[in-house]
Order: sequence, then C-alpha cells, then structure tokens
Amino acid sequence: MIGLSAWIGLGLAWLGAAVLVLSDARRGLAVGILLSAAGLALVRLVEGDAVDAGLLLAGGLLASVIALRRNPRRGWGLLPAGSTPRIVLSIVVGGAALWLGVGALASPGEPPARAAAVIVIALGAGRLLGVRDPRAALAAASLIALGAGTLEALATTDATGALIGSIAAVALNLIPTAADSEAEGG
Amino acid sequence: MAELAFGLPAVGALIVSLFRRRRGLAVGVGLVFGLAGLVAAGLVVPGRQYRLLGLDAVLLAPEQVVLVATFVAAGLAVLLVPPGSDRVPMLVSVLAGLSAIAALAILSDPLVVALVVLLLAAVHAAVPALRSFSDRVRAPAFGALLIVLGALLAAGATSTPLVRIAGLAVVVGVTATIGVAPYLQGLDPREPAPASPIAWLGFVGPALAVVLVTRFVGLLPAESGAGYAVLLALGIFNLGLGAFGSWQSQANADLWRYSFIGDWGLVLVGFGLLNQTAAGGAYLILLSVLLLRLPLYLLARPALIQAQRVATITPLTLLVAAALFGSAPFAGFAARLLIIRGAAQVPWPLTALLVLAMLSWLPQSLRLAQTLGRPTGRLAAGVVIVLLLNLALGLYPNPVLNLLGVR
Repeated sequence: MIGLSAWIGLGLAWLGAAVLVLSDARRGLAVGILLSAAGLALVRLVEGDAVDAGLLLAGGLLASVIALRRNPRRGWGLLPAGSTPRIVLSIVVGGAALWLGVGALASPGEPPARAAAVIVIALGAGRLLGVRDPRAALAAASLIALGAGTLEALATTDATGALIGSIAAVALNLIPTAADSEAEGG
Repeated sequence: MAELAFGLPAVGALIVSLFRRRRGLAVGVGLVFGLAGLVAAGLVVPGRQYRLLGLDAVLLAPEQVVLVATFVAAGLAVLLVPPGSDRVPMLVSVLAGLSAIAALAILSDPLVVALVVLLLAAVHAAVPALRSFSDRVRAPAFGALLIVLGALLAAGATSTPLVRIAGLAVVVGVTATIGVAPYLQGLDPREPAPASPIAWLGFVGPALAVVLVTRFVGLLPAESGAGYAVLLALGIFNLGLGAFGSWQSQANADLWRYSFIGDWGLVLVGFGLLNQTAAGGAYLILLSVLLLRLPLYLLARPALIQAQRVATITPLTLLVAAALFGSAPFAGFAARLLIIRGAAQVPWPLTALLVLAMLSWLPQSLRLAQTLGRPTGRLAAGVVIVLLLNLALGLYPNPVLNLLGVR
C-alpha cells in the first residue's frame, strides 16, 4: 500500500509537471505547480517525513496562488495549437527522467521519491528553456526549485532542503516581470 | 559572521529599495550595509565549518579573497558611476548580487548553490533591459540545471560513464552560468550594466569559478576527471575566440566582450592545467577581472553608448592599455607569467598557444583603452584608482597568493 502511494505521488508529480508544460495561461500553470507539489509531498509523506511533505505542499500552494494572481493571461491555455512538441517533451523527457531516477541513480532516498523529483526538475527545465513568456518561465523555474528542494530533503535528515525549495518556488513567482515582455507569445 | 556576509547586503538592498525616492539616504544606507558586508566577509575564519539554518557553510581562503574583491569591485562600480547616472538602482542590484555571491561562496551544498543561481538568474532576467527575459535567463538557468544533474550523478550514479558525466555536467554548468563560449550573449552598452551579460562575466562569474574549483571538484569522484579536460578545452576555445573575435571587432562593446572572454580563457586554462602555479595565475586573473576590467568597462560605457571615437593617445590611455594587456608591473603580468610557468610543465604547444594568444592582445588593449575617450574629472579619478589597485596587486602579488594558499 505504501509503495503504491509513493508511485501515485510520482504519477501526480508527473501529471502536474506535464500540465505546466502543456499550458500557456495562468490556471494551467498554477494547477501544474500545485499538482507537482502535491505529488512531491505525497512521496515524502509516504517515506514518513510529514514536515517535508507539509513544507512542499505549503510552498507549492503559495507559489501557485501567486502564479495565478501575477499572470495576466486568463484561462487554462491548455494544449494550444502547435502543442505536439510539448506533448512529446512531457512523455520522452518524463520517461528519461524516470529511468534516471529509478534505474541509474542509487541515492538519495527511495526510487519513487527520487524519480518524482527528477521528473519535476526535467520537465520544468524543458519548459523553462523553451518558453518566451516570463510568467510561464518563472512557474517552470519554481518546479525546478521544488524538485531540487525535494532532492536536498531526501539527502539530509532535516527539513531545510524542503524549506529552501519551497521558499525559492514562492520567491520565483514573486519576481515582477516587465509589462512589455508579458505580451510575448507563449 | 558567515551569515552576515550575505545577510547584510540583502538587508541593504531591501532598505535601499524602500527608500529609493530619498536618494541621499538610500545611497548612504546602501554603502554602509555594503561596507559592513565587506567587513563581515573579511572576518570570516577561512575553512571553519558553520551551520546556517540547518545548512553546512564554509568559506575557504580562495573564496574569501575573491568575495572580498567582489565587494571592493561593487563599491567601485557604485562610487564611480558616470555623472548623470542614477546610483540607487545600481546600488540595489549590486547589493542583491553581493548577497547572492556571498551565499554561493559560503554554502557547501551544490543543490543549494544551483537554487541560488536559479533565483539569481530569474531576478537578473527580470531587470528591465533590451533583451527579452527568456534570452537572458536561458544560459544561467541551463547552467544551474547542469549543476543539479552533476551533483545528482556524483552522489548517486551507479555506472562509471554516468559518474564521468557528473564532472562534465558540473564544469559545463558553471561555464554556462558565467556565460563564456559557447554560451556567449550579445553585449549592448545601452543595456544597464546590472542587466547585461557583464553582470555574469565580470561580477558573479569569478566567485562561481572559484566555487567550482575549490568545492565542486572536490565532491566529484575520481572517475569524473573528464571535467578537467573539458575545463582546459573550454579555456583554449575561449582564449582563441577572444583573440580572434577581438581582431574582427570594431572598437566598441564587442571588443570589451571579447576581452572578457580572453581573460576567462586564461582562467579556465589556468585551472584546467591542474597545478598550483597555473591556478595562482588564474586567481590573479579573476581578481584582475573584478578590479580592473569590470570597472574600466563601466567607466567606458557612456563613451561606448555615444560611440565616441578618440584617435589621440594620452599617457593615461597608454597606462590603461598596459594594465589591460597585462604588462609589468600590473597584476596581469604576474598572472600571465604564472599561467605560462604552469603550462610549461605540459607539452610545449600549449605554452606557445598561450603566449601567442596573450601577445595578440597588445594592439587590442590599446584599442580598448581608447574606448574610454578622454577621461576627465570623476572618470579620470576612477581610472587612476583602478590602475593603482591593479598596480599594487602587480607589485605585491605574494601576500594575495599566500592568502589564496597557492604558494
């Protein structure tokens, strides 16, 4: 049961990151951050670290609320025209990250938790490096922060990693961006 | 004390930002906090382990020297702003940057360092500038991601090829963050200095490079030695690109960009040679980037924006050219000599290449010095201060090298 919950957490993290990759508007980006944070929190909870889980969930929730409020693009913006490369990115990069986390790395933490963090980082990176809209880029960067925070939390015994990752995710979404660049295509 | 080194500039940036409408007060408070940060960075006991908010922190001697030099360079940048420029936004950016640089130098964990780089990249890209957010964030964000990958593989990879990739990822990640070739970005002098690539090449880069060679490399397993070869190769590539690019450039911002790239080539070669002598030279070049090339570029920026052309050569122009070229008795001479001595321990073609690349900067340094125009008033005072600092470092490099622990 515990193992299954961990894999569900991994699936949730992947789903959230994929939603963020496939979305251009504020609801999609915010839900992507929240789902990923929830997935990461679940895998940490399953591993018995409720403090880390709480911090990641709280950080993700706060980051998603800020992302929602600061982004002027209304709606979900899911699967806009020309999304095929992003769908491929979500599957291929997610799969490669899953292989890296489960098959190629022996630490830190248990395979599902490690893989969830690596998937979130990889998809966040894919989005960050390919996007032109600054709000979407910051949302993607906050995924990387949450994933790196989870990895740090897996490697240490205290909650500092999760705390720093969460703070970074929130701080990234608080960064103001110039109004002219907001209008750029996503 | 370690926490004060990055806490004080951060608080200073916040206060200056809050009081930005009362310029005099904002500048005074900002300078006080910057100075306090400098004192705190100087008073940290090098090598002593600290525990900050549950994180391991340590400031090694080379990091401390470069951090202190970064504080001094930041002070010069703020104090020597050309007449008519607004110091307050510069001060906020510089203090925020100093805080991040101190955190990079002090925090031990590569994942935390990558997070700081990511935050810094996002903040830097959000500063209003001519290039778009995505153009500016891409290289440093890519670098941060590679550092994360390298740290992950170094800690937990199960196969030797992946461990080798760890070294590669960390080295390429740091160089991508700094913005040296092949991650070069365009330099437009109209772009404010804190938002331009020079912020990475001349301000954040030196501390990151030292973190790479003193800390990250130590975390990598022995099998990941490929990273050193990549460091050397990137160094030679940047050295060649700097020399070639400078010959192809007009006497403008591009020439300055290639001059930074040329210096970074020497730094990477110096560290990549894996001997103490060359590393000493690389450290001196880093100090020279911070205390000579960066302030001179900032002083030359107004003339670069107006595209002033000055055909005459004044004594000050010649002195600036000599310092930029790295001739005796300026710091660049000792640095280049140490790198050549280090390179002499490996097969001679590398030494020949280094000497050729260094000599190719002789005419280019004169062209660079001419971009300053005819320095008068505060500009001339700034140039003289920078030259005196560089002269002191050139005449007495041994105390600094001893502090760096490379002799």
